[in-house]
Amino acid sequence: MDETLVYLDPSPRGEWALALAALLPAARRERVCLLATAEDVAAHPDLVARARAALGPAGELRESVLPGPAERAVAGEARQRRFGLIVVPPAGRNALQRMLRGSRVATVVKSVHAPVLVARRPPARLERVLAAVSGRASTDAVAAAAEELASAALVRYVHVASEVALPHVSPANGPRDEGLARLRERLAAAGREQDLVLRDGLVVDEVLEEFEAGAYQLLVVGAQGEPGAGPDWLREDVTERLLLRCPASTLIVPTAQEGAPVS
Amino acid sequence: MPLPRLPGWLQRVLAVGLGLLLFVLALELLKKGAGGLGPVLRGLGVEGFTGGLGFGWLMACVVLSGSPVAAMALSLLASGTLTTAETFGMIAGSRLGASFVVLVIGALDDLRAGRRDGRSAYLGVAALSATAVIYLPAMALAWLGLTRGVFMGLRLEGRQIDGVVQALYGPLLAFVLAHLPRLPIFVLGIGALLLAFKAFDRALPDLAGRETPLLATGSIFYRPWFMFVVGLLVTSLTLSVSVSLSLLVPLAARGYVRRENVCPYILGANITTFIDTLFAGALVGHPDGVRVVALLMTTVTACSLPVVLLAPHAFGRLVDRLAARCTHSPRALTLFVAGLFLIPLLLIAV
Repeated sequence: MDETLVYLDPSPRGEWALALAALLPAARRERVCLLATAEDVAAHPDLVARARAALGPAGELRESVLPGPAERAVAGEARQRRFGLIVVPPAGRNALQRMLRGSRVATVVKSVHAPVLVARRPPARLERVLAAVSGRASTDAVAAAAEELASAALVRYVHVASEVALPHVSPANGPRDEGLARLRERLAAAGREQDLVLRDGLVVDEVLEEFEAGAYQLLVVGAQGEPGAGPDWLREDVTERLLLRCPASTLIVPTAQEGAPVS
Repeated sequence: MPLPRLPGWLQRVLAVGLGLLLFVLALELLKKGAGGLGPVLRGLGVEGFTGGLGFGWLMACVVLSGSPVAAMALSLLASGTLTTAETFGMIAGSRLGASFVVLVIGALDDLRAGRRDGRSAYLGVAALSATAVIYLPAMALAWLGLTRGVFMGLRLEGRQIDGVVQALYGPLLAFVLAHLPRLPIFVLGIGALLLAFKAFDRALPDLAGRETPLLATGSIFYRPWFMFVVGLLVTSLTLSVSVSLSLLVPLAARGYVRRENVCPYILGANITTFIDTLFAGALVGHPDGVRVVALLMTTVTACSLPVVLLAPHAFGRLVDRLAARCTHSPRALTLFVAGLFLIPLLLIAV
């Protein structure tokens, strides 16, 4: 299995990344790279040692120190090696700071081709996971990542239909959702039909409402857009909005064409 | 021998030409016949800003379009039947009821198919709600501008075409004036106006038959500013919110327009729908005609831009919740439609 990268942040939010990394399945902790920026290591010489202690028993641990800022260090490390998972905490920037400097986690998600786990207020045990599926090409990758990461937890799926209800158009004539059909079949085969929730409305709001109503601890979503879905400057980044508004940890899964599927 | 079929582009050019000729004729008929409507309006109690607002709103619902009602208001202003305040109210009201047609189409389809959930009315309710939320502050600002003399010197002279109008329609108008009372002339004017907009519709390309109207892709969430610009551009061609919203139907049916994209599109459409009214304002020749339209167009733009650029999602959420709540049952939809007619009636009554 590919290495897991954990970014070490000296702020209290850094603890979130380490706590969440400690909750990962054993296979994901077999080979871990602890990454810190040179500036943080200089300011906090015990940063890596504290991280090793917090992470608890893990397999092979590797350290890496690169010049900051954090997003550049993570992207630089991810360019050099292939990672199966990257764990980062949010920088804690407010809306104005994000307007001026951008969002750290959003920048990381856009610049790496690996699943990114954004750690936010991790629970003591990971018991409830919600995977938001578009119903299209990314659905398989999102479902696989959710099931793999939350092996011992309850995984539920939510699909939001945000098409405008129209006269003369029956649902059968609407866009085809092959990914959703496959997921439905898989869940039916496992006797888990009730684990797929269908909602109607604005995607971001409905997903977050379902997340809060079900007291989930981790949200799994696909990276922005589907393959061939037009230029970025025209497209609304739904994933980024979910990532920034979700009150708990979020796993962003690249589509199969973007990066390697989560094994 | 059968006549050769004209190429599509020529049919469209001819449709635009016919539409313009009918539009100018309609304004002339409305102006000439407006005097006959005065007693009717007063009898109905249409007086002052609120009376004009209620009447414009109700008329837009009845004729299933806002633009002809706005043009009518300007003709009534030019003939001295309506005051500037009443005209301002009627034009603003015409926008509030303009999207009623989309709701009617959806509701009729629900009835035809025996559906009871009223979901097809979503687009119409969303359009009416989004328009109302923006227009209420915009109207207040425009009213302030009107009373403070903003745009007082603004002129868009359309009277130079008076000679052309006389040459084209002089004998017809003289004949009609000599043989018909004023009220039927006004009704003829309404008919000509509706025909003019029908001709403009014919000039539009048939989006329903196209596979890829915007981008060669499946389901997309467009950025709000992009959908706002699309709404602006589409309506500057169609000249009517109701036509622009009807164009959403084939786009949404193929998944090009999601709920997230609807509000910015409506906001854009609500601005350029004033273009034909501005043109009518220039043609009728009253000094306040262009001013009233320009004020409304400016304030609607000023209220829409911050929403689209700074808070598109919060606004979309508000409108979506409202529309979802009003269409979640036949009873809720009936209450919404009842309100749509009761509020303007109350405005006329006060």
